[in-house]
Amino acid sequence: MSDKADKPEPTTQGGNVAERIIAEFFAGIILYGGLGYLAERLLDVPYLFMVGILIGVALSGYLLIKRFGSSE
Amino acid sequence: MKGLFAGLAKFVVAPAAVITLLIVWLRPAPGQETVPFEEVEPGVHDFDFPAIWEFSFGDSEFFHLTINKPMVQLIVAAVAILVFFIIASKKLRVVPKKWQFGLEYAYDFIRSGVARDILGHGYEKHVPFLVGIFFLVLVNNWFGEFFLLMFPTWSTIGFTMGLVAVVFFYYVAAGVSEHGLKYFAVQVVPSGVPLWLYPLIIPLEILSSFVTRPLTLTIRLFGNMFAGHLAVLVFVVGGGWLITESSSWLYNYAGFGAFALGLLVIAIELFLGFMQAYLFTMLTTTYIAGAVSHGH
Repeated sequence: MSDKADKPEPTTQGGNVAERIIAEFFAGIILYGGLGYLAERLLDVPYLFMVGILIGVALSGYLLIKRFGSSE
Repeated sequence: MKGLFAGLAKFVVAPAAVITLLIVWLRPAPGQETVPFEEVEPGVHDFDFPAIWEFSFGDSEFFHLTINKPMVQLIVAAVAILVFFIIASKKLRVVPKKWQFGLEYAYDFIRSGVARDILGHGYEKHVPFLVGIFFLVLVNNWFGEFFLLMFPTWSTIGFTMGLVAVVFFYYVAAGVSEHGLKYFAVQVVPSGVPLWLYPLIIPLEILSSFVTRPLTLTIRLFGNMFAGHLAVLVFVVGGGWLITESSSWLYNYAGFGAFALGLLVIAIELFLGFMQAYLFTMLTTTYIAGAVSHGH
């Protein structure tokens, strides 16, 4: 989990990155959207589903920027 | 070039002409009671197959096994690949003949073009798995255009999930054998993230590493094969319906157009079947590379 410098650069790095991005956003939306939906149902607050999705997208984007943003 | 045209005439134009003549011949005369070309429209039910064989062990529902067409296809593909490779590798020569050249080219396409390029050092031990995966996916994709079967096996999602489960366990096992149990920590704990975000990030990383990555792999292969086969069905069944059922001559001719487009879609499906097999193998290789690489 150190920097990307010592990793041998694969030729299909682009495809790998695209794959990771899709998987990451899916995971964020499913996890935090799901938690938000559950919270919305349990606490009876009408906007928590949307808030959960937004938190998931934000976290996924933050992680992706941390992982891939610095190498370019 | 002349040989190519002769091949085209033999394998594309002649069957197309035979099919067209058959349809013209089957076209009901005006006033005659029509027999539907297809009684039901194409849809998801075309991907459900009745059982060919059924086995029951006792009365329990759990031990009631059914074998249907996609399962048979999968076994046929596996046996065909096995037999082909065993026979082909029996009589190898230093100066290859035409078929051996093709075989070596196909093998080397995965070995050098995919495995060595992506995995780098120590790629040899993963080559058999990757070549096997590639040919299994390729042959089963091309079964969608193979005239006896006409059904791509991976367009039923259960089969794709099984295949991806195999790939998933393979790359997790590769990672564990490379890093030990530290592999899971390496996959899950992010770098360069403040400590107070860890409770939010780690569930996300678990989900993205072990759930959504295999899921996207599944959806890609399944979706492409399903949509392609459905497009072929719509063009062919719809074209047949227009030719045989419709009363207007304009629609009849449009039916021939739809049929021709159906043949075009089948040709595109041949290409897409190869493309998806290559992409699936390539993504499998990148997953293995991500699992075994140091300094992730």
